[in-house]
Amino acid sequence: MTRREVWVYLGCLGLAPLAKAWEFVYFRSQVSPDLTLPIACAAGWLCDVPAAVLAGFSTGLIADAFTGRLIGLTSMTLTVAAFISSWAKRFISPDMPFSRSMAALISSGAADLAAYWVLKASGISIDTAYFFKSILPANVLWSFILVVPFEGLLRGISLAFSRLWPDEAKRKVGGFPYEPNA
Amino acid sequence: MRRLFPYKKAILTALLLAASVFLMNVTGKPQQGPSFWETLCWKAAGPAIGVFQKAKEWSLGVSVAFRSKKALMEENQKLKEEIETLSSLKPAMENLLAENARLKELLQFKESSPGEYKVAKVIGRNPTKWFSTLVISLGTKDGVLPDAPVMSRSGLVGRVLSCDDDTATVLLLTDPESGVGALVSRSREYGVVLGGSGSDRLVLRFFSRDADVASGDKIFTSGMGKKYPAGIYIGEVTEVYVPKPGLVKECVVKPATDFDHLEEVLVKIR
Repeated sequence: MTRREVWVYLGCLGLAPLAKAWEFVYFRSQVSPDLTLPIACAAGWLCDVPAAVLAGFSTGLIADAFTGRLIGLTSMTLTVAAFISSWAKRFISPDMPFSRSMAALISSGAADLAAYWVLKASGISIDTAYFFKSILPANVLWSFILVVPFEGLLRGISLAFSRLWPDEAKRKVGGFPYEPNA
Repeated sequence: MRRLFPYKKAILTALLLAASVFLMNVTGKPQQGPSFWETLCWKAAGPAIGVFQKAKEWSLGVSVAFRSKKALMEENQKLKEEIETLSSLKPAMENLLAENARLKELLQFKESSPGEYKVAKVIGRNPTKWFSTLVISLGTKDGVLPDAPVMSRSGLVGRVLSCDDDTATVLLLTDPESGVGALVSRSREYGVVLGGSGSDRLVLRFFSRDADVASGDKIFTSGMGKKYPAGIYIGEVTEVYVPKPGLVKECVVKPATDFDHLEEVLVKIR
């Protein structure tokens, strides 16, 4: 885990409770944006797989603790989302328009399908039509849109941390430690 | 190290997924009260929630005041000063009148339902898309106990899932883990109302294929299972079908309660 990835990870830990508090106050409908999903997708886009899955898992655990039911479901969902988003960088060029959003769309869709399957397997029946017509489209659409601002936010947080605690090794050679992952 | 763990990324991901599944198994059983971690999270997020709630109230107040002011200015240009005073009072009054009307309806409902009820404000909705739970402003201090039925002015809302001193979590009828014994008022056919199909749709599953039910039938709680008293209105049948594959008849029920816009609810405390 590079230092930059540590800052992104800490950024996720800071943003997750704020996102859940925002959802609690403002979103009264069941089909509302899940703000932690784009956070995990953004972390996946910014970090390599190990850091991304750790960020996804921890963000999910925080979200689960807020929900208080079936702890582990959101952590699993966000681990999958972060993994796929990080892995998708191999196939989606960052220079391509909407590259982050495309990665978020694929990863959030796959993560929701995984969660739906796990819920079905554990005997919690979500209506199939309701899942495919309401939950899934709303989630992938919101992730597609919200991953960009959340990625900017995480970048900003990591940049701010890096300014406060610069990476000595990189400072000596004059490198800029906040470049996107190669 | 790399030789020892050539598939480090995959192993780490698999470990985290396994940890998630393990946690799900451990925490899958229903609890009577909020866990330590849940309480800690809500307490840690308390200041942020407070700020967001204040911002929401302020923005609502501003928008209502702006709209009222504009309308009144157009109507009465000569009485501008008086109207400005009134417009600043009007949103607050409208809010009070609406609240009064809602509470009156709740009181009428309370009078028609046996038992002792208390009015609770809906503080927020639990932030999850898979489950449907609300947090209300009454807790064990006010006499609320787990499994107490919760109602709106239109009908059944759900039951108390867990509670602490000042707040309680309500499991809505629309939750995938919710199940309520119900009957068709016309034919007295029994069934179970299940959630998990969205906030405007419930499924009533009967015990037989020949159940007598038709669109427009009213559905009430049957009182079986003892969690809900009998005779509370749930909703109206909109569609009847036999699922494929399936052995028993089912119908879609449009709930009487608008689960997306709940502001106050009644909680049975005795």
